[in-house]
Amino acid sequence: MITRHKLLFTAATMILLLILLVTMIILIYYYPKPANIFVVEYRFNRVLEAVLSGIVLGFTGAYLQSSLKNPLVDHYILGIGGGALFSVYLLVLFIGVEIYLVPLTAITGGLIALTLTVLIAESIGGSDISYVLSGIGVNSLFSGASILLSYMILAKQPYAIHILMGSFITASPRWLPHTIIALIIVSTTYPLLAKPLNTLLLGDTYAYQLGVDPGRVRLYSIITAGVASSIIVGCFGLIGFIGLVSPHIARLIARTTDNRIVIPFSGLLAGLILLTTDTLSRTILVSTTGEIPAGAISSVFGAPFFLILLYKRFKAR
Amino acid sequence: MIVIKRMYSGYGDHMVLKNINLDITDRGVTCIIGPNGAGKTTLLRTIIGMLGYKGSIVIDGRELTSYTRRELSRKISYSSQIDIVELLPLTVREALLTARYPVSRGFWEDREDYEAVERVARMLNIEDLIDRRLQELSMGELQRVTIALSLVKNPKYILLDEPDAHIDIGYKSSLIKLLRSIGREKSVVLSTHDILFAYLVGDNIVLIDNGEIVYRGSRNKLLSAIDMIEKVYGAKIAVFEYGDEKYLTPIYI
Repeated sequence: MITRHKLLFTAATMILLLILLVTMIILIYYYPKPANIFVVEYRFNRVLEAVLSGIVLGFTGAYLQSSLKNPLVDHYILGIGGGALFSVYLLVLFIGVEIYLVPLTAITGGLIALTLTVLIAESIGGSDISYVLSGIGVNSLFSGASILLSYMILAKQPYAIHILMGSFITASPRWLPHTIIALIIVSTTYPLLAKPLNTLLLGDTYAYQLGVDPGRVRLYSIITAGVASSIIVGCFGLIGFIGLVSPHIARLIARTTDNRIVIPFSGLLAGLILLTTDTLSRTILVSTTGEIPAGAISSVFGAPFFLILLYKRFKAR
Repeated sequence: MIVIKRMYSGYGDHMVLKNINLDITDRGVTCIIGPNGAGKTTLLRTIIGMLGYKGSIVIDGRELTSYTRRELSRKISYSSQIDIVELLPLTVREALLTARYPVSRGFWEDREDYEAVERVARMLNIEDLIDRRLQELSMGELQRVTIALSLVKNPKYILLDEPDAHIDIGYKSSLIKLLRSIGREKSVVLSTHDILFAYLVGDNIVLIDNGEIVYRGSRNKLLSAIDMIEKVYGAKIAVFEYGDEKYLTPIYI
């Protein structure tokens, strides 16, 4: 029973990883046929960064949902993305695309927005729905401001409008260290947080009598998620709904809510989903309209999913 | 043995409990009764270290504050109503495995953890519920699972906040047998609103009113303290005979 459980988990992880790797290799080297070595080089960065960003967002979505016990949230809904993007655009406006300042600025903006969302949500009752409402408000504020800024910074960041929705068009080796750092943040905290996060699912008092400090576990989880997702948003923009959808698909496939399984599954699935959307974004419609941001495609599929969740949530009561 | 002496506790500056003196033995069932807001839950939560206190609470020879969170959680379990998030479903087995947290060693549960879950499930007769989701359970089933959750880490002291809430009279009588049998090996401390239930299940009864212990005694002595109970609740209590035994019940007229 126990060994079967662990074996299944390991096997599923391996299969997902294998699918991811094979798809990546095909998309870099073989399909569509690359014209020259520069195309391969560009694709290598683009594919790798899309996958790594997806993995990070999948992790952070699972962290946020389980720590807040709220299946309706991700970095985008909670306003982290909006705050991070706005602060990076401010940085670009006043200083320029400073590669080392981008993640720090994004983290600051993301965490400020997250704090704002939490404070407002708690002041209007603290329910799962108040988090969604407060997050959407905070996100609209910062996203709106980012849209304004995006036109003012076009000279310094010609892809500013693409990045609004989230796009890997700017993929290059210089963003790779940022993405890897974000991945390290979520993967090193996973073994420490996954098990205590499970106890939170039974309620704070319950977690407490199991020897867990629920407040501390929640704080560490949302800070980890806030920091890591802000870094990704700072590099590639708002990529909504991937972090929301992936943990749910992971729970459906694995048929469990155990965070030790859901968190890494959600990461790998998000990597695969983001790779798919980015591939769609750089292949379909390119000849007629030019590249569509990957974030736009993910929202088209993700937003209906969110509405279904919302419907289920209200039907349950 | 838990020895509570001259203990005051509450939420922040507001002291709910005043001058509590109470011994909790290593075996047996202690029932805490009292009106709403008297401080029953506050007392249980103070014993698991959730609330700050003045005075002393000595658990097995050591002051409560000297225990680490993990040490304390291995010794004492506390269960109130569990939270259930509709879209984040846990099965009964997953919940029980999660409740092994303070005693389970590795990142994954091992054979010992699974065996403990099976054992407790058998003991509480919830084997057929084990793969069901928590939100699919009826109130009575959930109440049984709640008790299972507090047993599965094998603690010495089991604190239950209103274990008889939301259950029908049929299950209540089997709950009484169950709690009495647990009380033969472990120390059970529970709060309840049902005086007859307390009388039937408790070896010791503690009556709290307005944050103070106004009566403390063995089950047999409770019948001679009817006046006190009537005064605290402001209700009428009747004593009646059924078979050879005497019982008590509130009169709601």
